[in-house]
Amino acid sequence: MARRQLSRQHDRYTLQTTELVHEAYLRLAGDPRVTQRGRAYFYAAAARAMRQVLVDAARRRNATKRGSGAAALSLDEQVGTVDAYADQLLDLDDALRELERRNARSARVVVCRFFGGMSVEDTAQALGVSPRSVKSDWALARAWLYDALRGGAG
Amino acid sequence: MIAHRSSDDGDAGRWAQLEQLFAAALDTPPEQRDALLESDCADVTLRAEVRRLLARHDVLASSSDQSEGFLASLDIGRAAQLLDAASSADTPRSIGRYEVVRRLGRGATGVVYLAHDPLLERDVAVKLLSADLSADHVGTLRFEQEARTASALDHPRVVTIYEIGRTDDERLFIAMAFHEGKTLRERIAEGPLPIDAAVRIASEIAEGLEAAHARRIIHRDVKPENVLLTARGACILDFGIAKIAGETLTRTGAALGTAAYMSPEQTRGAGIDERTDLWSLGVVLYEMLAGDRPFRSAGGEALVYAVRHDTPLAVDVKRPEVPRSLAAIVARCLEKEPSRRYASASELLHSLRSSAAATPDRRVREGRRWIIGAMTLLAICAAGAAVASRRDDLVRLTARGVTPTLSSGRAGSIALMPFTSVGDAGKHGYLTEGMTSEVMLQLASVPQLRVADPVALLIASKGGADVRTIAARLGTAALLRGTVRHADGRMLVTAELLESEHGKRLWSRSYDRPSSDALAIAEDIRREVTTELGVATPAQSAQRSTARARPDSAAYDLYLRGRFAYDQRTPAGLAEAGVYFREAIAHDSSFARAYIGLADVLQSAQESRADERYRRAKPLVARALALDSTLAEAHRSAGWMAMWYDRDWAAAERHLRRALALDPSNIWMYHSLAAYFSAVGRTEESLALTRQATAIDPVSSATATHIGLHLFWNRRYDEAIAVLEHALTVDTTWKRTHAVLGRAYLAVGRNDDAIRALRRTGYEYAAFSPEASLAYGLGVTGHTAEARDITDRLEQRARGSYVRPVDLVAAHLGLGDTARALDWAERIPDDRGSMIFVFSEPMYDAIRDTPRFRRVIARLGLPATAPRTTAQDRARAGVTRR
Repeated sequence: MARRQLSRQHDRYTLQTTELVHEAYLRLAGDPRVTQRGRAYFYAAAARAMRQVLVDAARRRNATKRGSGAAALSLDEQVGTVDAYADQLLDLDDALRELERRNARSARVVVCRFFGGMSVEDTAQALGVSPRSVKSDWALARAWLYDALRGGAG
Repeated sequence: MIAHRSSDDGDAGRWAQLEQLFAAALDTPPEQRDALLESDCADVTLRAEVRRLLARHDVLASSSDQSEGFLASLDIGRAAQLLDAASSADTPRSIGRYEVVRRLGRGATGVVYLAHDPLLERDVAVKLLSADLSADHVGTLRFEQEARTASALDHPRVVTIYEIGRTDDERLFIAMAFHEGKTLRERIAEGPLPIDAAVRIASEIAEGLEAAHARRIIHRDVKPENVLLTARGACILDFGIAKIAGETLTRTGAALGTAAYMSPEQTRGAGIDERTDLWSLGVVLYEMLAGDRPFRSAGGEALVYAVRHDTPLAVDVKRPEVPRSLAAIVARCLEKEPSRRYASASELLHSLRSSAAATPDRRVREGRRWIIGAMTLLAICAAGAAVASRRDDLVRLTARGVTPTLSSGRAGSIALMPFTSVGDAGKHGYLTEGMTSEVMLQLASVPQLRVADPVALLIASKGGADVRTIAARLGTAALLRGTVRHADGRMLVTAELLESEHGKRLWSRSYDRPSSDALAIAEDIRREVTTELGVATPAQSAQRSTARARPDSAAYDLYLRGRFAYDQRTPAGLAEAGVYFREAIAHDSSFARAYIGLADVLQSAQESRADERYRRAKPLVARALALDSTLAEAHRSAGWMAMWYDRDWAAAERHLRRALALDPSNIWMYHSLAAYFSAVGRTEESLALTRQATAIDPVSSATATHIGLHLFWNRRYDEAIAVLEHALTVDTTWKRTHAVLGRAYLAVGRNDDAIRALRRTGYEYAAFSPEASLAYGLGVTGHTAEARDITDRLEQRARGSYVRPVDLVAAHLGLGDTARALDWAERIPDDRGSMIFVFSEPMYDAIRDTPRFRRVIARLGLPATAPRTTAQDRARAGVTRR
């Protein structure tokens, strides 16, 4: 039963994000100037939206955790994971913002690839750079973020 | 918490250094890295940082548990949980006296919950207004007033309001009747509705509005999200709330949501009365019928402008079965001036009821108009059965194909996701694409299987959408996807078939085969999929493909590369394709398809004389036919050449019909035969055939452009424009689209748009070079100087080298110089490969009846007058001169 509930939750989420994505697409699609390249931009925008949505949710979750005991409809045994995940996301978001301060492009690559699940080619199109630079940005950004999330300067 | 670095690190120069060092270090073997850093970097802290990052990188690159999956991908499952947990956390246990059961949905004004009323022992829907709305006391006072009035509405078409109150923490809520059912929004997302259903729902909404308006209540926010489809019919939600909410929201600065349903007066915030609701209902009705909204701008100012000033495309143009009278009703609802709309909901209701009573025959009226709607072209009926001969059936088939109704035949429907490359895709992308195409071809050849449109699919699948969502959106019972991994001339292909209801995997297989075995793999996948879905497969095609000899793997590989290059449609791609095809033939001299590939390349080269190209291509096609007389593309090539070069119309028809019969799922067969019909003046047949093509093929720019072209040649200019403009929304880089579009704009007098489009043409349009098309356009729109410039240039060039006669005919016709035009026209019969679409091309209307031109036609072996072209058609032709 837990499993079924979980998958129902999953679907509602994906419905939300696809609605988000779909709505944005409809808006873009209505614009006759959108091209192949435009589609890559669109996916990048969706990735940014995804990040925002998740970070907002993580914040809300954190807030309620600390605040009054609201009705917890999630399954007890999952609570731990959800809270941990929320924390991880917030940490990642913080680190990402740090990265943005230093090199905006690398951060954008991360948003596209991680939150948007975009391929190297799509990311390159969206950001107007070569796939090779995407790959090297990605390698460095990943190492940097990994480092930041594990304590930084040693 | 992460450790923040000190602020003096923020400068871009330092990052650039970091990047450089990091990249350089990665390129050197690990044991030499330290040395490199020592020599290249003086800054000790920077060096340390780079070292540390390198260490991290190494950790990530290995596959230790600690780092596996770091930033690899978003964990959708846990993200889902988080979102759900976050929103659940906001879910109250009770609202007023009502006990909350679960969340139903969220709107612009608040969240709706399903709750239980313990007092009256019934289920209710409770809308909890958002905190900001609730906090605005001025607004809420008036809101309560309005809501009270609305609650007095007791009508089956209006969702009854039971109670308005405040929770303990001052949040405003509305308790109303709960109805099981989906919103109209959800229904529309599944596709356009059957006409009678749309009319019925619209009537029901109108009834509800009638009752409300009688009590001086205006809804103000009629939209599909606010219409519930229950067992008893449609029900309207959220009466009067929009007004107060709107005022409050504008005060608090938030946006009220989409302006797509707002009337012009609403966008201005003044002059709103009952007729505003009728406008919104008009938009809803339009959307139910057409599948998308009348105003589709990208939101914000553009949308408001469109609502206020643009005239939407008539519904019956978007969907031919819609009766004229119904389209007129919609149009009247969408009159910008309220005084021009229906004066009351009762009037509208009356009209709707009359329209419903007088619904004409479902079948598409003969030869009527149609258009590919943005999202409506979702289904491809592989109607391989009825080919070419029976026109009525063609038209009927097409109508069904163009406007799918999901209610029928969901069982045999599938969405094919493009195969993805695993591992180093770079050099082998063409193989993965080839795999997708082969599977697509195989699936499309199954008559009972409905395959979903890849374009819509691509959209639906981004953003982490799962199988169920994609399938629901596309209305398919199943989804097929797979991966391809390449290594040393072999492919590892995995394919899996998932059913849409629960995302369960029905079937999956892995194939480890030589790369040339794509066809065999695709056939196998088709067999398995059709078995799983319980769909019959045609024995015919299975037989045909096994009969064809399997080519040498190296040759096949080269062939695929050639096709891929050819499809780029660039001069460079063409040249590359030629090289590949030649090599393929060198490897395997009995590989028929490679010969055709090469023949296609030779015929596409624009620089050489037509008869040169013909001379070189002809033997290739002959050889291909000799090697395999069941190869559809060989017949297509043969027919094409018979048409363009030999002007042997009978042979052309024979070959092209055979090509179509052999491969009825291939869009190019339709286009080729349609072009033939156009050339000999059998325009109705060309149009009918083109229509059937849309039922077969996913909408690519190429297809849409051909359709636009045939519509243009059939003098259906408005539809041509609509189709071509849509093609541009898919891909603005397909230059031929601009060429045809330019001509279509000219035909309807949109001269500025025409010139603009013609300037963007890079590729030839139906035998005219871009220059000639432009010259013609400039000439007829009065830009005489520039037109003359181009024409003179062409004449000049013709003296020294080869210029096609048709181009000069076009240029001179643009300037109105019919004598000169005829001079050049007379050279056409001797110029092979100079196709002149005598009867179809509108620009020849000026000279068609002259004795000289008639002689040209005779020399081309064509009949004196076009069969079946009516005088009316000819009268409708022509371009307006300034």
